[in-house]
Amino acid sequence: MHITRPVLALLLVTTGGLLAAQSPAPPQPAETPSVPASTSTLPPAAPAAVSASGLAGWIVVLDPGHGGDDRGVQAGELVEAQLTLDIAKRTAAALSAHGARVVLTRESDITMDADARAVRANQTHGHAYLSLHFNRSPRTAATGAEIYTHQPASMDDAEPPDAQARTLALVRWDRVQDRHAPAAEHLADLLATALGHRVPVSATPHRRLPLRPLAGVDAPSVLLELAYLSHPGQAALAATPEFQTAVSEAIVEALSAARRPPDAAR
Amino acid sequence: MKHRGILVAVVGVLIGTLLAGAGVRWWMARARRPAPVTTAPHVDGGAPIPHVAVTLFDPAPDSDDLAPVQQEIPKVTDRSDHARLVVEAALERAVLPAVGLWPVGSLLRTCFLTPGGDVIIDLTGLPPQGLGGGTTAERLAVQALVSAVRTNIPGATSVRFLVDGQPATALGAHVDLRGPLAADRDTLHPGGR
Repeated sequence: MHITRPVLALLLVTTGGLLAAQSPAPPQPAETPSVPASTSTLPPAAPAAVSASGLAGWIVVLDPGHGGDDRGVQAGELVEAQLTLDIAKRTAAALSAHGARVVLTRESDITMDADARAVRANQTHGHAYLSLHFNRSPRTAATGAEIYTHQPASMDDAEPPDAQARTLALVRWDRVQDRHAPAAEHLADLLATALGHRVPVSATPHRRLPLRPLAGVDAPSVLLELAYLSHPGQAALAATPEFQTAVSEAIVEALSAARRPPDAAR
Repeated sequence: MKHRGILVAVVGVLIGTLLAGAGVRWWMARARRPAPVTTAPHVDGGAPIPHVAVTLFDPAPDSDDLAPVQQEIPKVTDRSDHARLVVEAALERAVLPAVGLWPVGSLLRTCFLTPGGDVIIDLTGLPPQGLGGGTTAERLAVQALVSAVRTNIPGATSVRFLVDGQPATALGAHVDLRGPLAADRDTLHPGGR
């Protein structure tokens, strides 16, 4: 029997939906991140109070953006597709050291479309999905990390629940992220705080958009734009091991906070 | 010698008469010229084309938002034609190197307004990798067109993108174009809200 990719994806989503109940706790107000004075240097690192086993039992999917034919943003010799892969590998090591099981959607410079990334994430039943990117703006003065969560383009065509007419709920592929919105918002706030302690962040660190890489992922998902490669100072910073380590530490801290029950987080 | 003086005087009178005539013609043409703000020059000797001011969007100079700019486009009565002219003007502006929102070579293949209020924008000439990465650049590029539709086309409720006649899922790796897009008010500079 020939099973098309959308049908396979739907089956995976339906199965993966059983894990939705395991989504992290409802959002808690996060403190406002402090914006470092300089956009091209790192602030003094804040000590991260994260236990070595703080992420035990958690599955984290890291998605290095772009790859293969899609180079992403290019700034001189810097290529976004390679930078995201470098940071993903560094972050995977840090997360593993804290007990998490980490899955990378790609481990080499290959082309992957958004649906293939979501399928990979949903196969692993991850507890969190982080899509790693570097930013670009027509305004070269733009700086700072930004965290994006998925916002459905329009709710007008959402199918109303009709329990009497159906015995099996169908979840549309491009709607599956919607049910994780509260947990994704919470994770984004935690990441904004953790990144704000370590690297330059944008004046508007958390934005919402209909995002292609996140829409089909059945786990709380965020897209991280870690720095603006269109800004010369930020591009130089992004290539340094210090920046990449700071980012990986911030991700460990934020995911550990998201993993903790609400009572323990207070 | 006497004849030469007469000849010079005649030539002088002739030149003066020609210059005076040209001046009168220029003054009369200027008096008949329509106001430049609302009409365009004659085309092919036909009637002047009336124009209308529309609001388009450039990157804001001091934030990662869009800022409104005024531009004139030909005034037409058909709503679908108006939609096409608005989007055409918005895209032509967006590819200008000074604006830099869309890659040079991006063109409008067609654009129309459905009875239900959807504006269908069909693009062509895009590079293979779309807009070239960066959520901010992609967000501003898409919203520059979506906001132009929202601001200038009464009755338009949403925007759908096609590329070379095929439904577009994204113009890069970020913004999801599969559903109808509403204008993102957060992207508009305060002056444009």
